[in-house]
Amino acid sequence: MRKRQGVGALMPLLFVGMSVAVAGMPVAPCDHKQAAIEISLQRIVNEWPMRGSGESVSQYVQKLGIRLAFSSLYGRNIPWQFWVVRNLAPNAFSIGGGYVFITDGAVNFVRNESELAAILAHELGHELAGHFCVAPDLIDFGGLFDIFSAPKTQQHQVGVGSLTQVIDPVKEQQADQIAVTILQASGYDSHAMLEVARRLPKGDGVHPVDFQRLRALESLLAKIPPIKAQDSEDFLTIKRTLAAEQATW
Amino acid sequence: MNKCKLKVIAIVCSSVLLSSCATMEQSAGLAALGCAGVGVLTGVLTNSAGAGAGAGAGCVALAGLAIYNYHTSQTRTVQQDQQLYGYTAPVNSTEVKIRNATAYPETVRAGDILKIGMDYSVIAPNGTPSVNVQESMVLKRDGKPLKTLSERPVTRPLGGGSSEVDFKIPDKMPPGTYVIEQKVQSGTSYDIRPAVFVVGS
Ligand SMILES: [Zn+2]
Repeated sequence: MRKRQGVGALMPLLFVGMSVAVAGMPVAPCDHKQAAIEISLQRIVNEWPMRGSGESVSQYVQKLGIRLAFSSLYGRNIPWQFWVVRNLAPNAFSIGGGYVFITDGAVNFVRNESELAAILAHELGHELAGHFCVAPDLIDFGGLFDIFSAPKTQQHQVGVGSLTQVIDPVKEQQADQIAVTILQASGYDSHAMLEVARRLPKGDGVHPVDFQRLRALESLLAKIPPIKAQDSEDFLTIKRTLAAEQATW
Repeated sequence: MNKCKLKVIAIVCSSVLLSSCATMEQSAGLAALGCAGVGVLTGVLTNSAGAGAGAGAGCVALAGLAIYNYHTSQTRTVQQDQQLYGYTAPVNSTEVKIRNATAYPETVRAGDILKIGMDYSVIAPNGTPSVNVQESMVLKRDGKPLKTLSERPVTRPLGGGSSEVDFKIPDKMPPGTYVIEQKVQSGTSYDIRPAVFVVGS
């Protein structure tokens, strides 16, 4: 079984000059959480319909996720697995251990590759921040973090499938900050974070807009000029693939 | 063993665990079924929008490929399904997940009956009596959709259920390898699984 590690203890160093990060630096162990993370993974895979790892959509998401993760030297120490859930509602979450999930609905939802990168980068942010290592109670309950949800000022939990999603506004903002750095380092427009957050379905009671988080993002991005990022041919192909699938059914 | 409900003809009900056939049907007037889409049974057989006019020749050849029998049953209770597949009841979402999809026999010829089977789990919060599911089938060749064979809304109890659809292979169906993709959807959750068969020359 592959060795999995977390990076929580390195968080203070992580984004202070990513370009000068030290190659090969060992990451802080998070092995005490690994068994619980694997149980969560198994429950999700057993319960939810997933795209196979060989499908073109899955392969593209894996490739994009790895590209984003490798923009950080610390991200290279995590054995990332990106899964695509067959669900038409836009959502994304991570469970620790490098396991990141995104729905078909989220891939459909984005207007460009930077927006998709922004969603994944937010989840990478949770993983790289060590949110699953430093919060022992969360993983024991199969805690999830969701890019689209932070409706209260206090940490709270909502059900996601048979798992419990833990939403902590502080951690959401941390993940956003890391995501912006990842997007900048990998050549995507970090303002896509804001675009996605603003366009999310509103008022469904489950994913209300967190205005505090939006303001924090606006403040963060005010210092960063937007860039014109070109969509890759792979991204355009995947969008066409999904559109064709939907036309078939 | 529960008694199977027969609409047209009698078929041995072979479900393993619960042995309850929710429906069992046979379509009539198969020869009349064409590419324009003909409503049959409780479901609808329609021409695939994706196939378009360009699929004309193949469409004619596939005109006789129609549902012969439809048979569905619950094969596992919630508890049996949870135990078999290692999950617990969700808090607030409904999921459908295909566990197995088959085409039998693997090689067929004109006039043969092809059995397309699917087994899937219906997962919903405790206390949910049943879930509305859309079951669909699309025939594909070389990755391209040729024909929507079936679109059928069903009401499913939670747990494991199976569906089996029989098709009669039409005389002019071109030889080759085909894929029937089976899809189930409930709300925003859906799953798709292919089953492969070969039409011999
Ligand atoms: Zn989040």
